[in-house]
Amino acid sequence: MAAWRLALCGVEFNLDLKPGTASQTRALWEEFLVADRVFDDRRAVNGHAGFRFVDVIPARRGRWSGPFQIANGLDIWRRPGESRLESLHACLQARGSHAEVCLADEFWQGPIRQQRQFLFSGVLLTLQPLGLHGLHANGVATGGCGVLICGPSGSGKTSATLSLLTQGWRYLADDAVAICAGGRGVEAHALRRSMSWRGDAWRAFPGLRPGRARFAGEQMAPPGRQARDRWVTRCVPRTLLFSEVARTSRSRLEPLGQTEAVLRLVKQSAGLLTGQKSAEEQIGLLSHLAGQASSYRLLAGRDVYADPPAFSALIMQATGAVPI
Amino acid sequence: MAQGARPMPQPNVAYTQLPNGEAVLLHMEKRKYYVLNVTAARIWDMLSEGRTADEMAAGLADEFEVDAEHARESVSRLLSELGSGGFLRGPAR
Repeated sequence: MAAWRLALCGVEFNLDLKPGTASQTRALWEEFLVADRVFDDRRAVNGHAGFRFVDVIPARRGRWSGPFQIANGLDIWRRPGESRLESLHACLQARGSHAEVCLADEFWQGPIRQQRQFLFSGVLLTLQPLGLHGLHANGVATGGCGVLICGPSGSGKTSATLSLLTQGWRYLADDAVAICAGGRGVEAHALRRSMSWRGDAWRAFPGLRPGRARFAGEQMAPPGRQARDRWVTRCVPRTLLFSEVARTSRSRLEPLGQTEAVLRLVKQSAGLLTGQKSAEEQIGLLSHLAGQASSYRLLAGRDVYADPPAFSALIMQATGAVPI
Repeated sequence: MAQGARPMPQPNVAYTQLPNGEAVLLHMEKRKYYVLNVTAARIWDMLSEGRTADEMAAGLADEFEVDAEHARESVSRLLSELGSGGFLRGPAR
C-alpha cells in the first residue's frame, strides 16, 4: 500500500493506495480536487476520513435503500451508518467517513469525466457524516466577503468568476464547494480547484490563462499563475448569486427572498440529496446559508466580458465590501 | 378526504423547517419538493402526530383564529395536493 495523507475541506484524508494505480489515483485527485499535500494537524478541524483501495468489495447483502441515481450509471445505496456507491466498473462502500474502494482495470480505461464523477461522489459520501455537504457553486471572495455563484452548467458561473478574478477577487472554487456549520456561520470550503470552461472563455480575459491541463483533450485546468497567489481555501458566504445569461449589455441583480433562495439552493443540490437523514441535514444547512446571506438573481450581461471593472463594481455593491 | 381519515406522511419524505416558519418537503424517490407556508407547515406537523383531518382542522381554527369552515377547506386542499404529489401514504383508519 502507498499511503497519502492530505487535508481537504479541513478534514484529514488518508488514502491507502494500491501500488499499481497509486500514480493514476493521485493524478486524478490532484487534477480535480483541492488538497494540501503537506498535512498540518491544525487544519483537521472538521474530522478524519479515508479511502482504502482494495481488490474486491463483496456484493450487496441485506437490506439497502436505493438506488438513488446521481448520474448516468452511478447509483448510491444506503442503510444506517453505511453508504455504497456503484458504477459498472467501480464500487465504494463507506462506513461513516471511511470507505473501501474497488476500481476495476476497466475503470481506468473509461472516460476521464466518469472517473472524476466517481471520485468526486465518493469524496462527498465520506464528507457527509462529518457535516460537510456538496453544493454546485463557484466561490469568490473579496475584503473578507464570500460570494457563491450558483447555477446549472452554462449559466455563466465560470465567466463571471473569471471576470471577477481579473479585478483582483480571490478564487475559492469552480463548480463545487463543500458547506458546513462553522463558528461564524455556514462556511464554504474549496472542493474543486480546477475550472472547466466552454469554447474560448479564457480568451475573453487576456490577463488570465489556464494552468496546464493534466489530461489531454479536457477543458479543465486550474487557474494559472496570475491567480494562484489569490487562492483561498474557505470563506463565509454573505452573498449568493443565482446566475443566468442575459442578452443585455449590462448585468443586473434582482433581490431574492430567503425561501426562494433556499429552493434554488436545493435545486442546485438535487443530485446530492440521496439519503433522507442527510437530506434533512443538508437542507437545514442550506436554509442557514440563505439566512446569513443576501441573495440575488444575477442576470449576467455582456459586461462580464466587455467591462469587468463595471461588473466587479456591481457585485461589490451587492456584497457591501470595500472596493479593492 | 373522508371524516375520520388519518393520512400519514410517506416514510421517504425529508422534512426541513426553515427559520421563517415555512418548510420544505423532499420526496426522496420522486425527487420532487414542495414548499409549505407557515400554515401548511403546521398542518404537516399535526399530520405527523397522527391527527385526523377533522382534528387538524380544529387545531388550525384554534391556533390561527380562523373559522372552522375555512380551516377545513385549507386542510382538505393541502391534503389533496400532497396526496397527488405522492407525499402521503393515504388515509389510515
